[in-house]
Amino acid sequence: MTGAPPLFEAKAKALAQIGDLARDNGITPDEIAAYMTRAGLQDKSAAWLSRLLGYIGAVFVFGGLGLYMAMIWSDLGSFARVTITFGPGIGAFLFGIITLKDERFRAASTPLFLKAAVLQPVGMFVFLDEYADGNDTQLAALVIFGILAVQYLLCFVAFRRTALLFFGYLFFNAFAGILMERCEVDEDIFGLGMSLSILMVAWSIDRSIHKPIAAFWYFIGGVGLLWSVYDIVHHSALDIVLLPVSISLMWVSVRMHSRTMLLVGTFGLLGFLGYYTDEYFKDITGWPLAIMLMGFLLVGISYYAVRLSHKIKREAALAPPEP
Amino acid sequence: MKAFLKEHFVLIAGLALPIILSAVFFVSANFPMNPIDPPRYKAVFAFNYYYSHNPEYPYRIQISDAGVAELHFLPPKNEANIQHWNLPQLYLFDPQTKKGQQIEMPKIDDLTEPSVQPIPALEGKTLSGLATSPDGFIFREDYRGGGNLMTAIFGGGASGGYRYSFIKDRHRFPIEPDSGIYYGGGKLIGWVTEEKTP
Repeated sequence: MTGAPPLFEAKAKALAQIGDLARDNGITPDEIAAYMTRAGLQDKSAAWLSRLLGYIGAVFVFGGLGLYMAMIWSDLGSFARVTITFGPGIGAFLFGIITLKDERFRAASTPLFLKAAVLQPVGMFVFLDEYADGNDTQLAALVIFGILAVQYLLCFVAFRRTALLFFGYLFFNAFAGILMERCEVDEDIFGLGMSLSILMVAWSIDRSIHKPIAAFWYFIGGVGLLWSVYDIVHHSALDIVLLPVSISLMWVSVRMHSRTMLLVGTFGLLGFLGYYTDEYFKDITGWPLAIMLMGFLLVGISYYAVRLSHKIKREAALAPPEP
Repeated sequence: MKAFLKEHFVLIAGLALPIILSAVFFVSANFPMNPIDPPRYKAVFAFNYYYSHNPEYPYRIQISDAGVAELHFLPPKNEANIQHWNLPQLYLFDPQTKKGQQIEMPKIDDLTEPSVQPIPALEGKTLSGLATSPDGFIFREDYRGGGNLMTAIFGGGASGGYRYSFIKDRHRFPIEPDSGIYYGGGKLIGWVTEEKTP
């Protein structure tokens, strides 16, 4: 990727103009910030109530649908059970796609996709439960999540919506995890492979316009990686490996301007220090000294993490997203 | 295409990694480098047989000198304690079907007296109590643990549980009992070396 995208260039030009105007009229950056904050609050104050009521209404509709299903479930036949679960799911998905065509309703697409992502798999499980033989639920889950991953990712390719990417990748991971489980991939390799895979994909998402969802996947991948490495090396001579792994996560956080990764890496490092002192220094007379030393280390790491966090925030604000 | 691959290398590698790992483990489990013949001898094994080394445990499945499988019952000192001990479950593994089928244990009529009874379902079968079968297999129970965070989130909820298999030269032949074995305690009783056909 070379050169900044046009949007970023336009933004830089606008900022330069604002700077010139501020200089000419003796306006300070604080005054600009205060004005922008006030204006933003005025814009939002009118919209927040209707948005809140909208969300509460959606929860009531969803909850009511669930309660209604539970109340009449035993009276329903197989076809009706499938229709009442899968029907609203596929309906919500299609509505979500339709709303993407109209700018006015585009904001409704994400909650519709969320509803579809919950109800579609439920409906498909109900379908298999009612009509398929056998009791291999894991195989059923493999098939269902595979189909849903293809559905959501194909629609993402067509419509480029972040919500579609999020759910598509969620279903892909569910599919890939069950596939690894069925192929009897060793637990340790499963954990490492899945975490690294998620981190690599999160890295790629972070470099795109869909970066708002990258933090979630960084968190899952980072915690999964630390957990898996800990499972492998704890109580062994290789447990020191936890230190470079935690530090490398912090390095990635700086590289990718991800404060989520910084949080995971910092907690990983703190966890390593706690584990290591407990493992090797607990039963010696220097244990109280070790605790004090760890306290100083915690303070030092926290200070360093906060500094890094500020640096990441500054750099992330300046960095242009890749299209 | 080359430019696309180069630009999105990390993304493609990330998406492909779980699929490649699955393929590698699937191939190594199902298409071994040096294939060997599968087990040829039927085997009898017991589940829920954890306390077989406990002297208070009233049930023993033993093989007589003549190679007959027998249920030995020794009443516990306190008769009321009999409720606390589970009768083991006995299975016969057939290498032809690759399945383990549960076989019925003889009924003990008098719980106050010691008794020795042959197991009717194994009538006509001569068993060897050796740990290794005549064709070189051993029986193994291993526990596939509850997994880690990632298997718990993405593993489909089926991680963990006891697995039973016959092992020879690092080749594993899984045994699938016809009903779920949740609590382990699996133990080989013997290999069927001779079988009288009715």
